[in-house]
Amino acid sequence: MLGKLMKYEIKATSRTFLPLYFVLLVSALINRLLGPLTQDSIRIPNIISMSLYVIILIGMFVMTFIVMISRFYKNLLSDEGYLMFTLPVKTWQHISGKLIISVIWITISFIMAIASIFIIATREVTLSDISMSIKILWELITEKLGPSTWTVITQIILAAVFTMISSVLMIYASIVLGHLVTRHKILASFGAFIILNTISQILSAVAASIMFRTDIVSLNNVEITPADFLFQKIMWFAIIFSAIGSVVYFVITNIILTKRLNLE
Amino acid sequence: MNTILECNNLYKSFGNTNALNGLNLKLNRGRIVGLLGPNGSGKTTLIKLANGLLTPTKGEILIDGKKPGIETKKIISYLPEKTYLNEWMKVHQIIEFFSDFYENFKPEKAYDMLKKLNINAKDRLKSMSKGTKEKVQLILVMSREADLYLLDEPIGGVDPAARDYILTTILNNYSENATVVISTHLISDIEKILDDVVFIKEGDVVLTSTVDDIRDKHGKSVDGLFREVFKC
Repeated sequence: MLGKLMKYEIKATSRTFLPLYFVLLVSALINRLLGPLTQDSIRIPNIISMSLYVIILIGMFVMTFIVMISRFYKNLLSDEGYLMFTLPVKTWQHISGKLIISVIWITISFIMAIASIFIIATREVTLSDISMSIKILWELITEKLGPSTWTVITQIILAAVFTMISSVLMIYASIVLGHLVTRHKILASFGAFIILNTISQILSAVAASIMFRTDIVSLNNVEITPADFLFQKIMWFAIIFSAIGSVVYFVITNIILTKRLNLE
Repeated sequence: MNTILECNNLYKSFGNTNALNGLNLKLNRGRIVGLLGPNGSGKTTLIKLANGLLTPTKGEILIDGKKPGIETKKIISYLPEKTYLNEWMKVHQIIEFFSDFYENFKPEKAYDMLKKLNINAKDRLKSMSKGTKEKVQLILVMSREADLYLLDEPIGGVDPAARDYILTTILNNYSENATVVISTHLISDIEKILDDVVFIKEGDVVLTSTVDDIRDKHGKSVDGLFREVFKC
């Protein structure tokens, strides 16, 4: 059932995302074709197309965010919820389906942003220049980090994924918490988000100060590199903290949608 | 078990107002039941509780002996009083959606009914009138071979000609063992197809009876009795 929910979630959201990515890439291509900006001759078309590109780029991330929220709210808590919650599907599957698809779109949006930047960059430099620089960068990294390179990369990926998951779930939890009150549900959701966010900030600060108290004392102006044990400790802390947060928000959302669902 | 829907001392309140006030009700299989009451009497609330879209404040509601959950959702076919279909899908995509999620959904039945009502399966919901959307929803709901059909105001928004078609559709599409609950205040239109009636007022049942009994005992039509019971 989770697979089927995800299939329809993709159908519903790709209608927005695919044209958006297309427009972004086309806009990047136009910038590429218009040629480089030279310092002595400022050409109006270049400026306009560059500004448009930036607006589309920002717009893409804003839309990613809006679609994530509106899909959850509209599909589950507005009139469409009458259909979704009468399907023989468990509530956790609804939440997971929406979560997974959101995380995938956020990731693709980032990839698209990078891809579009590369497209524009090739008007100044060649592809071989870029691959050369990446190679040099990679050598620098492996040289500096040595055997812990892959640990650091894994940590960065894990931290990125769990941060995305916990952010999305924090928003879901805020929406359903706001939905518990009888009036001003949207305002209440904003309030719930501020409260959840503040609580998690305080908890992470408290937990960090306990975990790293001895480290901070011994640190004393020493430069930290990613190869250091302390860096890895901080990364693991961040990963575990957002993983715990994800579980808590998921449970809150699931309990409210299962036990306290009131569609009006 | 012969009971399909059972409510025991069921309460539902919204803020300070009680929509249901300790309602008790038992509905048997194989009946067409009219859930009748004036606006705001608690009809929709009761149906939504049976579907698990609302949570009871107190008491319990059981479908086929079970609390609302996956198992009850499999056997209930629900027509809400609002449009619950999204705007962007085409009718045939929604039929696929229903076939994907409900094992007892029969797509061929749905296509057959669409054809009879001259609705094109390639049309988008967005381009349809409110009445046509309601017809599509009813077709979807009646194309399931469910044990319990809960139809909330199924004829409110459509013209009298379509009303007749819809009622025959309902009659022709439920099995012997299934129960159809129709909530409405347009009693005279549906009176002829009902087996039982449940009068509901201010969140409580005031009368349950078979239609034959009403005619025999009270010497009135259901519509006439309704007007008497709910006289303002």
